Amino acid sequence: MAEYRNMAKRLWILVVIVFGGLFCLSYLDVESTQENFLDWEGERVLHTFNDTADASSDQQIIELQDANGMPLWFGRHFYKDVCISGKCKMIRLWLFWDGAGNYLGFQVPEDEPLTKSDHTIFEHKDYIKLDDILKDPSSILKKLKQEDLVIIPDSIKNPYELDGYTAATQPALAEVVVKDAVYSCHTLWHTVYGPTQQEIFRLLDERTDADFLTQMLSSNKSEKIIWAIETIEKHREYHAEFYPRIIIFIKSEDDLLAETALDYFQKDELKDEQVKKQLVDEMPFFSARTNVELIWRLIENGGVLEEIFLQLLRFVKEGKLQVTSLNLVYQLYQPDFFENREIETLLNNFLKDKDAYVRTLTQKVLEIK
Amino acid sequence: MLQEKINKAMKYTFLITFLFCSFLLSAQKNSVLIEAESFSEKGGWVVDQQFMDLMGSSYLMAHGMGVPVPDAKATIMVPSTGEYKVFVRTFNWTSPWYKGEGPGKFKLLINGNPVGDVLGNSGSEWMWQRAGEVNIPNKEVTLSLHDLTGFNGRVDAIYLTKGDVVPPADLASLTRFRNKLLGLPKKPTDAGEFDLVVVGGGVAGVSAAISGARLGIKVALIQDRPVLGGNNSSEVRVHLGGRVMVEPNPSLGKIVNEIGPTKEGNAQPAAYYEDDKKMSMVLAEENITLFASCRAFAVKKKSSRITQVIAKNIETSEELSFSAPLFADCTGDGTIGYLAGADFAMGREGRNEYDEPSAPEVADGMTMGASVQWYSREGENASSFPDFQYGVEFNQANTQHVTMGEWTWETGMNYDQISEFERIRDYGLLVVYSNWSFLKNHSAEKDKYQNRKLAWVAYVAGKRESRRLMGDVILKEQDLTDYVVYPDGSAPTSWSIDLHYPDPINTKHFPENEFKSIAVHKTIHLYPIPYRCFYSRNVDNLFMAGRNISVTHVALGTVRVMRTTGMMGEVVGMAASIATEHDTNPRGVYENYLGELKSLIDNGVGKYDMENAQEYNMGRTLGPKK
Repeated sequence: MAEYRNMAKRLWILVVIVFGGLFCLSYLDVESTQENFLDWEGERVLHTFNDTADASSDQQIIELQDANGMPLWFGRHFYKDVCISGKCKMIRLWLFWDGAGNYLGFQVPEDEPLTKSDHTIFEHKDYIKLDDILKDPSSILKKLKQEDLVIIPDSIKNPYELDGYTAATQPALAEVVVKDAVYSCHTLWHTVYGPTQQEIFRLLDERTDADFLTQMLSSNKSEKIIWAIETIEKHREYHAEFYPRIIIFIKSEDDLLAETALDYFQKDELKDEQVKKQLVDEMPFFSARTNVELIWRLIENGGVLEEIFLQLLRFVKEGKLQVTSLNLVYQLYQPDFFENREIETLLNNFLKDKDAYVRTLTQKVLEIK
Repeated sequence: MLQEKINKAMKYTFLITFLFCSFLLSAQKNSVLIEAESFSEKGGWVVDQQFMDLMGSSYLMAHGMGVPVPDAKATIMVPSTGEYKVFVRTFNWTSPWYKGEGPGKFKLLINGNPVGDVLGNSGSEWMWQRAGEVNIPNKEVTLSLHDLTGFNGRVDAIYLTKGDVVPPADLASLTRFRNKLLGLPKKPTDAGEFDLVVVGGGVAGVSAAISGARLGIKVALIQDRPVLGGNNSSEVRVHLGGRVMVEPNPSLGKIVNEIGPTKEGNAQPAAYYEDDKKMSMVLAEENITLFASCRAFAVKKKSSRITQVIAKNIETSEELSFSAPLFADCTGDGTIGYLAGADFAMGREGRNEYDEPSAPEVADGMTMGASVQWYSREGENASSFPDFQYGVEFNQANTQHVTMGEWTWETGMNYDQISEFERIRDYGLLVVYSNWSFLKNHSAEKDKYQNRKLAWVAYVAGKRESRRLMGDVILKEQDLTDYVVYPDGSAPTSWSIDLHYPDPINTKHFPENEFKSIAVHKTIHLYPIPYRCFYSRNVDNLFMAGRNISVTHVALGTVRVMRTTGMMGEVVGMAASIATEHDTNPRGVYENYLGELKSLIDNGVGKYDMENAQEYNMGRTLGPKK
């Protein structure tokens, strides 16, 4: 029975590859801003998706997987109604999301280019602009409804009977959308960030286990690592196994990844003294800004044990932590820490430091505390 | 005829002087004056110095946000035992908006017993109010100010007398009276001679002082609060804005980067503003002598030069004089320039004056306002807040459904930000309390606020604009938008031209009594402010840094943010070091030593080699470089 199911699955994949391949031929040499995603190598897996709100488009999401079964992209073929110049025109295109469900790109058939309200076709720069718009998950289009897009003269009652020449794009939008294609931009943005993307997130979430997370974290793809970090945040059962790896990503040169990794360590995670210690131990390898942010989080989440305070003082002394952070480090000081001989020695040395700022600050802290 | 008139006038003058002197003499013998701010134990009362130029003194205020604060106490000696009449200088701070009894109620206790009636709830201006009479059996007496409401009752001074005469009301006589009864020396104590006296310890003043000190000049830094940082201190809690260490002068802003808070946010917990760092950075400079809690109130001049600044301690009233060849006005209000007769502007210029596109057609007195910021905290249990209704009515339609108020809680745009500033600050307090009272007691959503408690309300208002002292260059809008760069371009301004106006929705509900604002932005490219905006055109030895530099109202919209004002301070410190070395004045630095100044600007005066630690609130996308 299992063998039969396996065979059926393989056959299904074969059908998808063959027909998908034939179908995709019409998208070769298309006007696109990026590489041809349909050319990527891998195994295509079909996910049925009953999208009643978008019944004209394909009711399936195709996933391209690498040899290890990890997602390379998700794609869906769309037929969308876009109302231009009083008529609703059908447009046909592929939309792609990366292996973590973020927008990746689009492809339009060569013989069916996108058109504008004045019936001219999109130029190359328009496709680039459209791609930029679709890349922005917090675009101004997010909160707008179709009726918010243009200024409608009082004489026209039904906005869907608009003539492209009698309505003007809202001034606030004019700079951020493709000229004379505000409806297309709006429709496609909401398609990219609509139900299909939610379904992709669901598919990824369904597959989450330690192996999958390990592979995502090892992918060298920042979007996948970010997905994994955010998923671990939601599935606390994986925290203990993966947090040391997340600490490493704080050092990443990719700002967004580093920030996501740092943001992982919030109130709950910082209840664990071991986590605090490991974070502090890595401080010499973090940026000064990251260190400042981390010290603030330690201050705001219950302070630190003597051992960690000592480590911070050592780092200041050794120049591994910016001396201008010393006032923040001192916010973690507790009077009983002074009973620790090494802390006492370090603080006494700071009282005699060649830098008057260090001396002044230390003197004040010891007096007040 | 004329001679007769002169004789008559002289006779009256003599008579008045004689009476006043006799009064002073008898007053001194049988009376005692106690400044409230000098109480040894302040309890929960705070020292407020913001309006001492207007009403003559700093004072104590019961700032309990609706919860009575602990008593302030002092032990004094009276000249002799016996019956005394007791006068208290106070007033009802809500009187501009509400005709009935005010909320700032308190009692005066002498030797633990209340004297007379409740005080602080009547009077429409600062005045001596007769509290009652008391028998004092021993020369040593304890005084206590006992707050009854936590709603900003205030006391300037207490006067115990065996005589009948009420102390003088007019400021000049009152000042003489105070000085005499407090036994203050006729001449201020000499605080010393310096190379540069910086007045004002906000971000601009601190940066100017550190910059000058690091370049080897002897600096006095005078600040009228016990903490440094001004609007960026934990007393006001406005975060820094703008960019530092940027083109075309990337070495400027290193001091700001060293002293500035690392965490962003307006109206956040006190620790965010890192007062301790600013203070320790200043104290670490051997060349700086810090005079905290001292407010400058007078200057001495010789022709067009300032020779001395006189300041008064806001608690002890001790007066100090500071001598120097150079002074820097970093007061925000341009106080030193004003006292020295420097040319200044205030309000909005008309369009015809500088042809600025954003200027109004006709000049007016409107300025940007001052913010009284606040926040509340969710508690574990329900907490009450008194019903507070003193002339500004809140209802379901106009109430602000918020749990904190930051910069947008801005008042006083149509009032004089100097002469009416106490009223402006008080209106800020009034609307915070009134709105909160409505939310807690009457709102349809009051359940949501049940456990919330006011955790902080500023009593030091964050002022954006008042006097602008005029320099050899007055920076205007077109300089910024058209990128008209001058040869002495120095501190780069990066914030958009950000001008504030009353919020039209707020105007609808509170016409002419708005307390919320909106900001209108116009982007600019990074623009180096000419050094000539940083010194007075008619007071020869006066620098300026901060919001009181030489700009139009429109141009102030960009330069006023604190990272930018800090860089102005750095430039002023540099110029002062050059002026000291060559024995010249601020203009002389431009005319003869601009190359040296540029070289210092290129090097900067940072002490620590550090990356930008404050990448927050840097402003919007920059505009094009035309």
